[in-house]
Amino acid sequence: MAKTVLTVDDSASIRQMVAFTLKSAGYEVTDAVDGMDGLGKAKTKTFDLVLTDQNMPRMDGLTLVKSLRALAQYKTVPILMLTTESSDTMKTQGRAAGATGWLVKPFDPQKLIEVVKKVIG
Amino acid sequence: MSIDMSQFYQVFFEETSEHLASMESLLLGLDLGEPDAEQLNAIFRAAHSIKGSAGTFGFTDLAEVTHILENLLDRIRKGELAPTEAMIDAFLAAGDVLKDLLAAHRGEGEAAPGAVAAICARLSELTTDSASTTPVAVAATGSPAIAPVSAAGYDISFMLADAAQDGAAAIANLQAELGALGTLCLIASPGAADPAWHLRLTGAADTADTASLREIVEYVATTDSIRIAAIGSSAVADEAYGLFDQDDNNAEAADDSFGLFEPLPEAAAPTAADDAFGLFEPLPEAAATAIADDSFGLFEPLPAATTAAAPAPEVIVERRVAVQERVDRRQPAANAKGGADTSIRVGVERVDQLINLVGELVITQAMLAQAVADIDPVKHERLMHGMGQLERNTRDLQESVMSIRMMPISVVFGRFPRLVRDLSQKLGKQVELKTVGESTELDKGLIERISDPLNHLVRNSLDHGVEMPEARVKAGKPATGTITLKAYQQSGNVVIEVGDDGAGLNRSRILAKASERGLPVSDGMSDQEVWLLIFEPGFSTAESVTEVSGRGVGMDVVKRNITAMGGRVEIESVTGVGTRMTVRLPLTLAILDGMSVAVGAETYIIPLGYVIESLQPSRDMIKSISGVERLIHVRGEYLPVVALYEVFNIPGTVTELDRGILVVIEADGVKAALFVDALVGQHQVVIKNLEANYRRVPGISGATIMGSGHVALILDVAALAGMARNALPAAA
Repeated sequence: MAKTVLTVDDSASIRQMVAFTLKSAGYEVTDAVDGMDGLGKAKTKTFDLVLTDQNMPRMDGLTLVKSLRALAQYKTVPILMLTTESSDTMKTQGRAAGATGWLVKPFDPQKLIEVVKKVIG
Repeated sequence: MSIDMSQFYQVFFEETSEHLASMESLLLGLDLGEPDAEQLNAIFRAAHSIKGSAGTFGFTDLAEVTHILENLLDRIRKGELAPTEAMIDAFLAAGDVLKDLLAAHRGEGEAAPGAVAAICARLSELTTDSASTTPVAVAATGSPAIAPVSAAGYDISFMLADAAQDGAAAIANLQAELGALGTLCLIASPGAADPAWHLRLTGAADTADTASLREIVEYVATTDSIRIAAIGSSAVADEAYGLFDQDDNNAEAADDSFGLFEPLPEAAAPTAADDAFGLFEPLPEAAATAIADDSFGLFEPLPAATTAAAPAPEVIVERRVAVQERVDRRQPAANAKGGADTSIRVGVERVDQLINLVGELVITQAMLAQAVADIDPVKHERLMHGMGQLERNTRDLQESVMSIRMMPISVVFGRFPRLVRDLSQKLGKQVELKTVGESTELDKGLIERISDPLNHLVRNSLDHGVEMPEARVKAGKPATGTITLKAYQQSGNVVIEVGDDGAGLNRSRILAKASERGLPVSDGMSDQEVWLLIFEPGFSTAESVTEVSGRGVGMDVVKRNITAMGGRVEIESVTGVGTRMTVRLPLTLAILDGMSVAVGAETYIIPLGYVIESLQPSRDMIKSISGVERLIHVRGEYLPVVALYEVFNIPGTVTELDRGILVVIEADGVKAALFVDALVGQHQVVIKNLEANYRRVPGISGATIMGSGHVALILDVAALAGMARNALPAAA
């Protein structure tokens, strides 16, 4: 069965690009427009991987990661943060929130697939 | 596989023009004297989003301008720079340049040559100008990674070519050559995890560029392994992503060396995860040390799922607070000159009527959106455009109307100084009360209802948290304890913290008390889980019942009240250092994030805050009691099943558990599974009072009107969870 990925980003173009890229690599993709939406969708089913942006209205990526980690079914699901900064602060915060890793924007589709493959195969 | 990025351009163009338009109107609406933190955040987000997408889709000119813009905005929103008229002008001009660039990319006109360079220079000037006048800002942003453009520095990584595998000599040559161009430092030499060399060249002469550097490196390295990028562009391959899977010992080294990938698979394997990363079971010692190191340690946020102590989130909070405090200081002045003629008094019912009407408008807009969803957007471009505009306007209107009901939390905070003074005298304690962020606003209805729970929390801190002066001195703390009340907005929530620097919660005493009360406990429980026990009904560890708070009623009521408001409460505590209770509330009572589910022909809304997960059960998860399928076995727990079709008497539904969906909910510490036919979707709904329009119905807390025009009932999850418990005499 195809692995499922939840991708959370407030930018429609990034969402489309990520979804298209991952779908073409054989993943099943659901997208969400902000952290709140993402959290809700994550509760409708348990995904194999969550990719989230950091800066979003209503609920940001770090809060989403923390909220997901508080749910039993998401304790061990890998979560990657897509972010435009790879600063140490961001890494510390991401790690503390419980994220599995990060991927810096801008990225190209190949890089995205490569990273996702490394994480969930 | 190669992916044609141009297929996403159209969406990118639309989204970017939307961002630019909203950025412009926000900039124009910004009050320089008293900039609104939320507004600044929104402007920053617009620039940030444009930058992220533009970079991804290869529009480097857009990315370049927004990068500088974003840096300035970031510093403004963090309170490091005060916005000036000149900045706003420059930002608006930058917006114009971006619009031109965008038009050029769309093939609708041309951008003036040199415009990008000119605006970048103008923005950079603002950065340096303000940096020289505000020394604090320099200190805070002095690192090269944040500096706007540092073209003179390059990160270089490569792997030695086989031919040059005699190693040391080749590297020495290379270092000499690159060293001649500027200052070269070795970031990381090859290791088992990463066979590449990482060098950093700084202070390079103007003649050095990526291409010329590449030529030099190519002598010794395999061509396709070479990565050269200007510092700060984050384009060096190995820094572009990473995983937090290093153990804490080498964490520091890993951060410095470009966040390299460690072999990963264990991350995904549930069984190995705890050992591999220790992310999920907070280690009390680790947390305690980290906190002791940090001067703000008391308020270290430690979410349940984390072990790594995180000073960083706190930094954000402090900065937000800093902005808030500035606003606070300005408030009296503004009030003084504003006075009576800038405000009018209106009856609450008139405001509520306005809110109601806007609610109706939101519903109408949703209906229209649904009606045109299937129309070909190309043929009806103008209609679609109008619909988009209507949606934005409706949303803005709704937000402004909602803001009328907003009141500053100082209304509630204002009563605590007296309470603290009186109670501390009664208890013989010395306590100082600090309040931060009093001008944080929340809905009038919430203000009224949060008052009692906060009262309880403050009393609790006074009574159980802060120690007697002698005990404090003995523990090496100042005799006077501090209770801090803090309020701020965070991503759509209002957060209120009640913190004290007292004794902290006592893990073993709570556990002992809990088992005495017959609550299910084990020594393996995480601290977070232990702390939550104090919210259980009838729980109190106070040795003697005091007049102030020790009757053991209270904390469970606090939690119930807060949950009823759609909020959450969290506890962080470190023995000997203090306790912090964090209450998160939605900004308003009138709108709710819900999950819509179908039962027969009916649609119900489950407030999202209560939902834990949804699943389609398999036969072996279902357990029967006296021949009736009443329990479900999920993640090691047996949960009672509440079949909504039974509760609400709905014919024609799915009745076999394994053919429908179970939505696991938690309310008042009780978990249950609601049985429904199917999940429909997720919506923000406008809450309509059912009692006012009809009558009270058990299990229903309100109603809403869906995009289709149908009425959907909002479930009273707490009541349903109660029903689940009562329906299960055998299991109780």
